[in-house]
Amino acid sequence: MKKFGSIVFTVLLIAGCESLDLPEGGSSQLVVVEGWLTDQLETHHVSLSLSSSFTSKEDKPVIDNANVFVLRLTPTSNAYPYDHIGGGVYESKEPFAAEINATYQLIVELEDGTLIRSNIQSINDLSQIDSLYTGTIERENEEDPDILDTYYYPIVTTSDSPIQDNYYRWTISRNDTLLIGTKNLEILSDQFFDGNTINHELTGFEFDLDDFMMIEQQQLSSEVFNFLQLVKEQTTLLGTVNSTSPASIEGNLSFSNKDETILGYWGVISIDRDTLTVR
Amino acid sequence: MSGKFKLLFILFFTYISLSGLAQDSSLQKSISISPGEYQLSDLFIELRRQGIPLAFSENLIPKTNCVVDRSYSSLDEFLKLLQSQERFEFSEKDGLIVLRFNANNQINTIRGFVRDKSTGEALIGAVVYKPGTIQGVVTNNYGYFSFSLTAEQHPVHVSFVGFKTYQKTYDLSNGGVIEIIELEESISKLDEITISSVEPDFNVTSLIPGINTLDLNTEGVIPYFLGEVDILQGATYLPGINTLGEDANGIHVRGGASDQNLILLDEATIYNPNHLSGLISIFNPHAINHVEIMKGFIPAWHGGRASSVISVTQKDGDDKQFHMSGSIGLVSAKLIAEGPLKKNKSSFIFSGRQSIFDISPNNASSSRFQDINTKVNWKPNKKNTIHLAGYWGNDRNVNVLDTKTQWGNRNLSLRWNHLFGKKVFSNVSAILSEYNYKITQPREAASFIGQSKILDYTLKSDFSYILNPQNEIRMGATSILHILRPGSRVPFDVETSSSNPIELDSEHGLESAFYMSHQLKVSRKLELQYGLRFSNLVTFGADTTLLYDENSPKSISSVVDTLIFEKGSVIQSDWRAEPRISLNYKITPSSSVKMSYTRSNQYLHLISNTITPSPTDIWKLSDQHIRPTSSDHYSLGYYQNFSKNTYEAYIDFYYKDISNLISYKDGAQLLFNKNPETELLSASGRNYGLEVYLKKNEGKITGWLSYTLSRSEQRADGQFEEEQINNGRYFPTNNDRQHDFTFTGIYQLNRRMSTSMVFNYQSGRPYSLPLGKYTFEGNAVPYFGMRNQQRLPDYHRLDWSLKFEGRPNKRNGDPKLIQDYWTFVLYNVYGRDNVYSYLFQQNEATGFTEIIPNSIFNSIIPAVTYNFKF
Repeated sequence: MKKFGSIVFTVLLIAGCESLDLPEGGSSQLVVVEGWLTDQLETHHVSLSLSSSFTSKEDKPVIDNANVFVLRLTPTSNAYPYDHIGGGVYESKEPFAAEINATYQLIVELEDGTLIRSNIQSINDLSQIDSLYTGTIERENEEDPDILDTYYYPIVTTSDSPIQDNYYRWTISRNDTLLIGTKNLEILSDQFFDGNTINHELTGFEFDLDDFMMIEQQQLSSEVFNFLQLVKEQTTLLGTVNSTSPASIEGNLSFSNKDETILGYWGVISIDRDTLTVR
Repeated sequence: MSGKFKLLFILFFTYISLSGLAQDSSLQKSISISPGEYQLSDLFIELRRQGIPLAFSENLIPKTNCVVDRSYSSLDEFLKLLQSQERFEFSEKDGLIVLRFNANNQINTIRGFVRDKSTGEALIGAVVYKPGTIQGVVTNNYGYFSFSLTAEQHPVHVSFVGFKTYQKTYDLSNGGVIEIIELEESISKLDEITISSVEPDFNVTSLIPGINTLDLNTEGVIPYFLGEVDILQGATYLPGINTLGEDANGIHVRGGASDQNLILLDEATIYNPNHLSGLISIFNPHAINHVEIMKGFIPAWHGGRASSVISVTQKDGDDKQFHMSGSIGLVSAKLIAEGPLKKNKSSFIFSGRQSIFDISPNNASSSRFQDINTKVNWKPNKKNTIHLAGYWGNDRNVNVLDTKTQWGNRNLSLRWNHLFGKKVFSNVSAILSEYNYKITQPREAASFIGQSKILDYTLKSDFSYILNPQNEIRMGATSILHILRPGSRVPFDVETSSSNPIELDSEHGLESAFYMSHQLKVSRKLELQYGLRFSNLVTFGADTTLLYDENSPKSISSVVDTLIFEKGSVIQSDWRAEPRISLNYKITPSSSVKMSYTRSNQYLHLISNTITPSPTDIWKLSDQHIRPTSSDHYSLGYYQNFSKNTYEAYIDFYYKDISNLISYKDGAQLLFNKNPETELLSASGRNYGLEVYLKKNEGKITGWLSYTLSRSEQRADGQFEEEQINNGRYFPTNNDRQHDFTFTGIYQLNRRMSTSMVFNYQSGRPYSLPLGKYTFEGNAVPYFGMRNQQRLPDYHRLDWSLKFEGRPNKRNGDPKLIQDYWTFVLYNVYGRDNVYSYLFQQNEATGFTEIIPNSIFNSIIPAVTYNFKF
């Protein structure tokens, strides 16, 4: 018994002496481009920054001295220049709207003369919200379980086109505040409801009475959808039991004259908005 | 010393000795034969050379080997030694010694079954042998044996661990004998325990390297998670077997993927061996008789998977008397009923298990499970036994959004054991195996019910022909009709759901194999088994196969042609040869060297790109784009027992070369994908390492040490950049662990109490650390470079248990009606926060990105279980 006890004691002693050193992550710097061109007549934005160490607590490094413009390639060519407005964000000099079936490309010229190009983007279908209303969830009050609290969530009705594959994204604002965070990245393909009218329940977004909700429905290309899906997986599932292996998320931008990865995405999307005050 | 040198040595000394004094009788003549193993005819020829006047007919001498255990000074004594091993007579006439052999030299056979006397349960691995000789056989998975001896009287012993040795003299002069041998349980020393399910020298004598049998004797003794005795958890305490962590589906054997294990329950394939997404296995330990894990050599009668075979045999049920047993613990309640349907002829066993509490580690969902095992057997006479066995299991998980996922295995097997003629044992089986899952999503606009199923109809026959104790030939054939319904999806409510019904094309394949295997005792020291298995997969339509441009990565945009196959038409047929050989060379009676080679092919693949497989992953047959996975497995080991088999040890080296492994493109989308090949990569793999095992089988303190040093690596180096991982270089797989050490100790405190501990240490498994982060729409997104280049912190854990048995007798000495025991378990005694993975997240409050260790269990988990039997 003494021997047995000694073994147990030794094991416990060794086990109790260890501390966990967390990894820090790498620190390479790559150019990051993000932005959308929509079919709404408004100013559009492109953001340029650099990647940083994963655990860095510094503000993201930005690129504020690039030349940015969007080219319309077909059916007629045109160039839409952007100005830097601060924090690495560039805004189109004037409002303009992307047109269905027209093709566009983003061009960024960095200070050292290197050129960044997006692939050619277009809108193939228009986004349209048929209606917006709310559903309810009842849940026990955290302080008094006898009380049932009622929460409201948006339900968006939209009619899917049967002609082609469609990909959707919804962004939700509560009282004029956009709900960000990748867990709020709400995307859906029409793989399972092609050609039907859907009532999409956004159950992850809870509203109270008198809250003001604004829903933006975006019509995406399959490339944008795949990109956003990977962003969501890599930021919400990675490390969990259900996670896949980490992947490098392919964007749609590249250098004209060097073989270096550019992170991010620039795309052309169709959007439709609707609003509702919860009553 | 080689045979030729030995012979020259003998001749030299013979010459010297013959030049000595003449003897009066030829039988008193001195001889000189060195100890060793010789063919009988060689010995007589040698004696002649030594000047012994022997008369015999050379072609009547049996071609058998005899062992000379020491030096013999007189011929008379020496010939009597040979007589004890081979049947012949001798006499002396006019100074000439005449040897007479029976021209017929008739051989007869004792055959039958070895069973537990108290329950009638088959004893698998019992040894039937003739004492004082090398002749002996081992019972198969049905408890059957066939032992051939010369047509005369022979003493025969039958032994099995935990049972008294059976001794009987059989008279075979009038023909063979069919016998049901029943062994009586031995009463062990009150304060000692034996932890072995096989004969003590099995470690050395077993022909198959890398075979492990689980000790179900340790039931209730070893600490298991939440006190639930678990076969798969027990397996991970053996060398070469591990999991990705707690709550991870499947096990990995010698670096193989979890779908590379052929898991059989009474010969029926189990496609998902886990309940509760990996916390415990589906095998109800109370219904199990025998567990065998082949992780090295795989005999020719098994096939279809690239890594290992885990064969679980259910109990037949007590054919003497009815009794019930059961247990209740934190995980489940179990009830087992067994008894005779007709005493000594037919029996049944029925066991059911129901989860009690929701022990899912995921707070966002609740999980429940049930399973039922049942088996009926009928022994109409000594030559025939019929088994009907079934298993039904069901898991149900419901999350906070009312999404319900159900899955389960269902099996039914009908088997007929028959003894043909004098030496042939046959088993014919008809088996139905099914695995299915169902997802019900009542919320959301596109609410749906999704289902998937794999269904196997198997016909199988095996014949074992035991020519003599030195030669056994096994042959057989298997045919499995696989029907895979990868997915259907229908609206949950036709009126309100906007889902379209979707049904992916079913797959149909006939996987067939036939094999022949020869087990041969070449000499007392050398034994080998070699065999050849031919396997084949024929896939049938209806099917639509896309052909892709060879100069582009596979994608919908690179389709160049479409082949349409009518229903029932052959799509392709693929024949493959699988040679197998295993060799055991006994250096001494207590040590041996074993080596083996196994080639196996796998025609079914689990399509899963998650780190640990999910119950809702689908299986897929090999096709024109997904080639069968092929494995070449080499093994070399040294096996040694000590102190009269009290200790057993081995060290085993292995190397496994695997081709056509399935890997996945970054971000592969597999859900309801009609063309999954566009998301898959073909990879190759190599797994290698060494395993060390030291076990103490009996005494007050028993237990074992197990250590594995190993690597498991994979390479995806396709033609195109999109078809490569880590630039086409080898990288460690998710289950690669360099060191894996387990110590299991059991201490018998007194007659009714035992305590035990298990300590497990494993190197951290690989993970991918982000190269950095970038901001996209205000969210921090990690980005990655090469896969699996970093290691998680090492894993270690200590578990402890106490088993306390109730008093077996009343105060007046009469046995109590109910025999019972309690087990108390502490899992993760020192509350180690083992890192299962890292989460790379943005803190919502601070906005900073963090690397957060994620663990499944980070505290001590106590459990208590009550077990009873009456």
